[in-house]
Amino acid sequence: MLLTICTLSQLPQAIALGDSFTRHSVHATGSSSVILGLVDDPARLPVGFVSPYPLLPVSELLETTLLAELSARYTPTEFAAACKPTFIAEVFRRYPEVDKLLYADPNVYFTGSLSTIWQNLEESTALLTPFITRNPADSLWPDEKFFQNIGLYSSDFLGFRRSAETDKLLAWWTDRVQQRAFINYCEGLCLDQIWLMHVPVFFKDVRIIKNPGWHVALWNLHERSLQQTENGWQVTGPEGQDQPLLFMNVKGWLHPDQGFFPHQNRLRLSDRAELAPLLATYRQALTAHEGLMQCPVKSTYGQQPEPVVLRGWRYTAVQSFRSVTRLIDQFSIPR
Amino acid sequence: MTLAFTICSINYLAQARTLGDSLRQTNPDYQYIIGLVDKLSVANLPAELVPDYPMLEVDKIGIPDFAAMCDRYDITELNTAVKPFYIDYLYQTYPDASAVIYFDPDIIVFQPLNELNEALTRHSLVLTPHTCSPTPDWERPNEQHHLNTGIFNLGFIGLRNDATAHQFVNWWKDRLVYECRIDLCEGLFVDQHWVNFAPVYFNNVLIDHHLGYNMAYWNLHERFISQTDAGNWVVSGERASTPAQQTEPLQFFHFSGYNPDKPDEISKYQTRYSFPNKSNQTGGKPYRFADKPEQQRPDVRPLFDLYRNQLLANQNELYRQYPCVYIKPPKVFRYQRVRKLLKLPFNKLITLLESR
Repeated sequence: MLLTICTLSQLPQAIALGDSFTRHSVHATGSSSVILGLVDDPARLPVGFVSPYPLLPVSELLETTLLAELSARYTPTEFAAACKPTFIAEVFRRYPEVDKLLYADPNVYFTGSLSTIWQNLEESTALLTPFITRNPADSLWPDEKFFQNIGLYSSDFLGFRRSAETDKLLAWWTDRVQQRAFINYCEGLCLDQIWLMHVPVFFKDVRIIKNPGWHVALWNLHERSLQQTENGWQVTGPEGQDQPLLFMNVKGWLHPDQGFFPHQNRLRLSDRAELAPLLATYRQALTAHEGLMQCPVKSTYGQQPEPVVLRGWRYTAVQSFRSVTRLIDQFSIPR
Repeated sequence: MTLAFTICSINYLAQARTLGDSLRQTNPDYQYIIGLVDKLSVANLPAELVPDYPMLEVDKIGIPDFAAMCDRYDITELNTAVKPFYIDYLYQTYPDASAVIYFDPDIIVFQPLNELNEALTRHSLVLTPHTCSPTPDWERPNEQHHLNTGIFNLGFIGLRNDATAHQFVNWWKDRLVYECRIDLCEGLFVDQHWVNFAPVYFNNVLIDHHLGYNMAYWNLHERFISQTDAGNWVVSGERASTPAQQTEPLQFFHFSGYNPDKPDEISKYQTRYSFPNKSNQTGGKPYRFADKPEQQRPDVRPLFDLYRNQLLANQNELYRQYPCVYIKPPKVFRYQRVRKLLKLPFNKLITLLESR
C-alpha cells in the first residue's frame, strides 16, 4: 500500500503519484491500495470533486485540541511533518491486512516495477534513502555541512513492514515530532527528517538503500546518469550500474523554490538534456488532474509563516549583509 | 598485529597511562602508542614521569602545514583534528598492522576485545553509537544533542587496514584541515559529527550495539553494571534487581567529563544521574536526586572510584600541572555593545528584505 500526505493544492501531484504507483504495482488491489492523507480541510475541496483514492483527513487522526495546538505551533511544512508518523501508524491500524506500506511525498513519481522494494521489505522493517551516497568533492552548495543540518536520510520516501519493531519506531517518532518538528539548525532540528538519523541505530533491521535507481532527485543527479533504453529508464551511480529507475522526486526540480535547496548551484538542469523526456512525462501526468488546480493554495493548518525564499538582488543583498554582521562579530580588536 | 592508540597532551598522561595499563593487562597482543599533542623537549619530564609506552609527538607525523592548523584551532579542536592524521601515519609506518583502534585517553579496557578483533576481520570500520535506544527524558545529554554533535561517539573507532578504511581516513582528514570547529548552526562539531557520513558513504561499516562497548554517561539509561562473584564487571540492559537478567561483559568504560577532584560527580557534561553518596550530604543539604531513586546510580560508583584510584596512582596530580605548548589564550571578543550597535542597521535591512 502507498500513503502520501498532501494539502489541497498538492492534490494533482498526489493523485499522479497514486496513478504511477498503481501502474507499477503488480499486486495492486484496486483503488484502495493508495491513501491520500490530507493535511488540510476537506470542506474546502472543489464542489463535485470525487477523489480516485480514499482521502484520510488529519482531523480524523488527531483530537481537536492537539490539532489546534500543532497548527498554532508550526508552519504548514512543519505541521505536515509533525503528522507524518501518526498517518503511517493510522494506516497500519485501519488496514490490518496491509503488511507493507510505503510513504512517499506528493512530489515522488514511480517509474518502474515495485517488486524490488517489496522484496527489500521482506528482509527488513524499514527502508531509508540517503540524500547523497558520496562526498560531492566540490565547493558547491548544498555542501556536506548543510546535509548534516537537514539530516542525511530523506523523509520523502520511506518503506515499512508491519512488525513490533515498526510499531516501536512509529511511537517513538510520533512523540518526537509532535514537540520538535521545527526547522532550527542551531538546535539540531529539522522537521520529521533529522530524527531519522537515529533510526538505523535505535531499531532493528533498518536498511539504507543506496541503489542509484531509487529516489532520483535534484540533490543526487550529480552522482547519477540516466539513460532511456528499450527496457525503460536506467540509472548508473556510485553504488550500481544500469539499475532500473524505480522512482524520482521532482521537489525543487519543477519549482525551484520548493524544498531544502532553493539556492543549489551544483546542478544546471539545462546541462542535462536527457532528463527532459522524464519531466515531460511527469508534466503530462499532472495535466490529467488540471481541474484541481484551482484548489486554495494556502493550507488550513500550520499558522506560523513559512520562511521566504529570496531571489535575485534581494538574495545577494541579504547574503552580503550577513557577511558584514559576521565580520563585525569576529573582528578582533588588539588591546 | 593490532595497533591501539590514544591522543592527549602531557596534562592527560595519567589517563593515557591508565588506559595503557589496562590494555597491557587485558590485550597484551596490542601495540599501544600515545599520540602526544605537546612537546617533550619543552616539558622536560623527570624520569619517573616518562610513561612506559612509546609516545609520538604530533609535530613528527608530517601533518601538512601543521603550524597553520595550530593557529586556526583551540586546544579541543586541535586534539580532535589530528586523529585521522595519526591513523594515516600509523597505516604508513606499520603497513603490517591489520587494524588500528583509537581510544580516548579517559577509557579503561576491562576485557580481551575478542569480539572487536573478530569484527575487524569482517568490517572496515567499527563505530559505537552514543546510545542504542531512545533517551528517557530531555535531561542532558539527550537525542537532540546527538543530532547536533554526532550519532557516534568518536572516543572510539576501530579501523581495519584496508582500502575502504583508507578512503574514509583520507576523506576525514580533508574535512578536518579547516572544519574541525564547533559551530552547531553550521552543522559542525569537531571530528565527531562528520562521522555520521561513514555508513552513508561507505559500505561494510559496523554499528556495534554491544552494551559493553564505550559505556559512558551518555548511555547509562540503557546500561547497568554489576560484578560477578569472580570479580568481573558485567553490563545488563536492566537494573540489577531483575532476576535472571541477561548480562554481557563490560568491554570498556569511558570516563568522559569525570574529575577525580569531584568524586561525587559522574561527569561535568550530564544532568541525568547522580551517585547516591552520603558524603554528599554536606551542610545539611540532601544529595542530588535524593528523592528520585531512578536517577541514582550506585551501580557505577565502584567503577569511578576504581578509576580515580588509578589516576592518582599514575601521578595525575603532577601531570595536570603541565600546560600544553599548543594552548593559546582564548579569543575574547570585546566591545560587544559597539558590535551590536554596528550590526543593527544591517539586521534591520535583512528583516525588511525577508518580510513579505
